[in-house]
Amino acid sequence: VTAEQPTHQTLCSQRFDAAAVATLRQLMAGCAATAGLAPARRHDFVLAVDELVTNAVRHGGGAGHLEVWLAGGRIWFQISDHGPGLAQPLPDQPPAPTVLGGRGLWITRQITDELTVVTGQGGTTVTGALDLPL
Amino acid sequence: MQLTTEVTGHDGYAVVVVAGELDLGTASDLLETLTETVKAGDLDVILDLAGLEFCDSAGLAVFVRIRNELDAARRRLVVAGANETVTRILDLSGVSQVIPTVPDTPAAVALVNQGPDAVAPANGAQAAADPAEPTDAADPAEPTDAADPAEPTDAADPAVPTPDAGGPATP
Repeated sequence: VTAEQPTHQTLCSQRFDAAAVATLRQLMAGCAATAGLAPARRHDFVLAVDELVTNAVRHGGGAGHLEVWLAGGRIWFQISDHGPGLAQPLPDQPPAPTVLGGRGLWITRQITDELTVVTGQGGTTVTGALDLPL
Repeated sequence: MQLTTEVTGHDGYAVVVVAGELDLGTASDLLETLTETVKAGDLDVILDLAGLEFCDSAGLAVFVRIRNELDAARRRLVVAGANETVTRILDLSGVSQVIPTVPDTPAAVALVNQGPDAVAPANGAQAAADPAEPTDAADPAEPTDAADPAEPTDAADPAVPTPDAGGPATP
């Protein structure tokens, strides 16, 4: 009850490209259910991973690696790519309603309990988590 | 599951029924369909999303692009019947501030028949969960409208002239 739980249970670890985006959503819905997320949060989890995978496909060199695991009462995800890096990692403000793009990370941050973006010339790694119900 | 679209033309508006999943892989199909629909005539466009099971920001980008094209031509895009999860992303992104969302296609038809400045009823959106978020479509940045004839609610006269019936609006 006191210290951080050392348990780390991997639910998914795989490479992806554009062809895998829809299939990954089904897989993520399964992971979210396994983790015990409530139905509304399951969809948020699926959407968050979908947005980040889409970002990696579009801006991160067309492919990447996805990792999902349980630790510390949360379901975690990490999407990494070897693209050229993101110019605008985490906007403070939502994009204006009439601009065409740039919403993926904004939306992802709104629906996750933690989100960290590390980006540079060697690629981008986004790590995030949703709290599991107590 | 992929995306299906079905377009039906009416007097003054078109209804586009969209079903399936809207993402990076399918957004270009929808964009193509909607672009053709917009090009085909001086119409408001109603997107019936009752059968749309998933939508991410790639889908939002299509909605916004078409909304902007229609807006420049003094026409409207109205979203009808979006489920809870689609409504959520429309609200989270702020897109529902510029694209009115109504519960179903009949409500959307009623809205477009009221003319270009009609506002969706406050309780019209399924997304009414957040009262702080106005569902009204009136964008303060929009140009004021002076010379727009009110459209007849009755579709008796299909030949109502519009001042800006000119071609595609996008440069």
